[in-house]
Amino acid sequence: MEDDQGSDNEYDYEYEDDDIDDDDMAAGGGDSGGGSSASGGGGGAAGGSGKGARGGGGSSAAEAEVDLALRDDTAVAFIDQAQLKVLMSKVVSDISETVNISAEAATALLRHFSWNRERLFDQYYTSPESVMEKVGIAAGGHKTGSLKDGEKLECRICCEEFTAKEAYALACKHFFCRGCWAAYLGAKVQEGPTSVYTTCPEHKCPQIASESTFSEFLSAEDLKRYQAFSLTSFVDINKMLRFCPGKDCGMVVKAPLSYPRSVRCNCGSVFCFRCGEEAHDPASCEELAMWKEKCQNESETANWILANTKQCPKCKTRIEKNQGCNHMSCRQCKAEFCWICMGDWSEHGSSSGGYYKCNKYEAKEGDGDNDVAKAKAELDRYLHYYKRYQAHDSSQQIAEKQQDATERRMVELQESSAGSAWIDVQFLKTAMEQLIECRRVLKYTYVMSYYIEEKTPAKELFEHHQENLEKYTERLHELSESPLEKIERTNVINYTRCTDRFCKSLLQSVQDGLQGSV
Amino acid sequence: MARRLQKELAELRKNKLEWCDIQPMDDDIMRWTAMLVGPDDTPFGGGCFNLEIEFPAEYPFKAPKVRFVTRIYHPNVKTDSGEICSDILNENWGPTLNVTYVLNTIRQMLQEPHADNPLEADIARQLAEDKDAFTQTAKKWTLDFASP
Repeated sequence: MEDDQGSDNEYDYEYEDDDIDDDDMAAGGGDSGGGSSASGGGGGAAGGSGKGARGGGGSSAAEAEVDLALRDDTAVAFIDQAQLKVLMSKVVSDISETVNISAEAATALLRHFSWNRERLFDQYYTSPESVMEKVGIAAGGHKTGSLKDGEKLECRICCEEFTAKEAYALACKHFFCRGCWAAYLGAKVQEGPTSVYTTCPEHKCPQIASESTFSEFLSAEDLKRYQAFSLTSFVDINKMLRFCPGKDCGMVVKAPLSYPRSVRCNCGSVFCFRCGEEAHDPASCEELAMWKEKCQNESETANWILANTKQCPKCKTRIEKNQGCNHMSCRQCKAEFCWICMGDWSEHGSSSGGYYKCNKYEAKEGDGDNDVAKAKAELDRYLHYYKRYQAHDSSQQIAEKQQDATERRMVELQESSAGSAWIDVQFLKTAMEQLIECRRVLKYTYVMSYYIEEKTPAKELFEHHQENLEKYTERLHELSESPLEKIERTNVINYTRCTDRFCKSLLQSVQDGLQGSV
Repeated sequence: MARRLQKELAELRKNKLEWCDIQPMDDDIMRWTAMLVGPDDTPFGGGCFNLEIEFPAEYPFKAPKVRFVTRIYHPNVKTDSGEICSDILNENWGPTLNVTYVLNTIRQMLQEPHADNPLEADIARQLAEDKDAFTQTAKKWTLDFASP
């Protein structure tokens, strides 16, 4: 049995188990890495975990898998609901063995210390009694109290008489009738996630009602809710775990110690482990938070700018943007312009030799003398970034929605070109994924850029990268949206590669601290 | 749980609180009115304060809703709605508590207004900074709104 006390890392979840499971694990586990081979239950007969706290849980195979994934502190691990249960009961049984208390008391104790073992040990061993009292776990753990046969009591909740057979109490021996217990616990579950902190119904009695009490009285449906709350709270107050924010995903991510800013779940969502928002590189969590707050404050002002339609700069027809690309062509007058700056598109394309200027904010000369002008200039500056942030955001969303359509286009393209295989049309999908990523990164470059001081070498370098990425992203978007009969495979593939390279070099440059010059 | 309420009502009728009178409203056991007499040595002394008590269907697992119908100048009572700020009526409610306990708590609140966590910040500030002025206004309100 090895000792991991040396580690002062508070998120350390290494288990000192000399369990038989260890051997199974070495044989079974196989690959783990970032993958999430879920499926939970597996076939393994409930062999090991004899000292497991909670009867249920998963098989030793699932346990081994969880164990393996969690031992690796350098990789992101994805945990499904079944594995999460295994993990939780493992953490609990670990504590219950070490501290020598019941599993349920250990659960309450861990919850009290936000699943932070170091803090728990620290405080518990300083003064076990006072911690037990504060947490609401009377010595000896949860035990159902009992009355003498034939003894009759009046239930202080419903005012009916009840006999020993209908009596129930926690270790604190505050007896109530079973009907009231059921109603009480049911009402607590209705109140939501706080039900995991339910105490004895007696006023001011701190004794915690644990899962076994809930399972004794709740309907199967309510019990499921309670158990879900219990798992949710395990993740929510645990610093090293986070739910994937993807819609209906439910996967839990265990972070490596680096707390990556970009985690990609199998469900497709890409998010920041630190703040839980969509992955926002190159902007930092702090910048994003400031930006979001600012956007909320400015939303009134920005709203009018944001109106979904714009007038064609030539014929003034109202135009709605229905595709992701910023290269607009008016159906009425055929004018081609840029959706962001409303300028002529010919000034944008690299083919025309024009300069892609759309990412730069140029302060209007001459003002800035008085406060009003300053405020106006500041608003202009914000709107400049906000408009672009917003534009890339909506392009990203449109591109995400188009993913299904892309699949159809791939089928169509394959059918229309004789002798081509499914792999030959993959490039469309890859391009689309690349586009979505670039749109996301571009979106957040405007958040970051807003907070970089103007007229500095760093800003210049940043905008240079941004400009390149934007240019290639627009071109790629356009190419990949072109009608199938006109689609140029090699071209799309090349642009996909280029944008990928530009995207990476932008992020790298930011990571390197924006040193050097253009 | 109607039985529990019946029992509470019977109990309150048998052992009357001398400073409080309780009646169900229009024979509806789920809604009561209470008339509370202001404690003597307070600015509310001599006043008769009407309260409305509404029991949720989940009573006693959920707290009753209690509000002052009579206007009262008090930092823990919302002046316009009569809403009461008390932990036992919110997060610290428990099913072993009852109407008597609630009424006692409210009476105690009249004896000792809390300046912390007030519903009426201005009144609380006045209570903390200029107790005489608070007492004067509270007395005047008792006279104006709570005297028969």
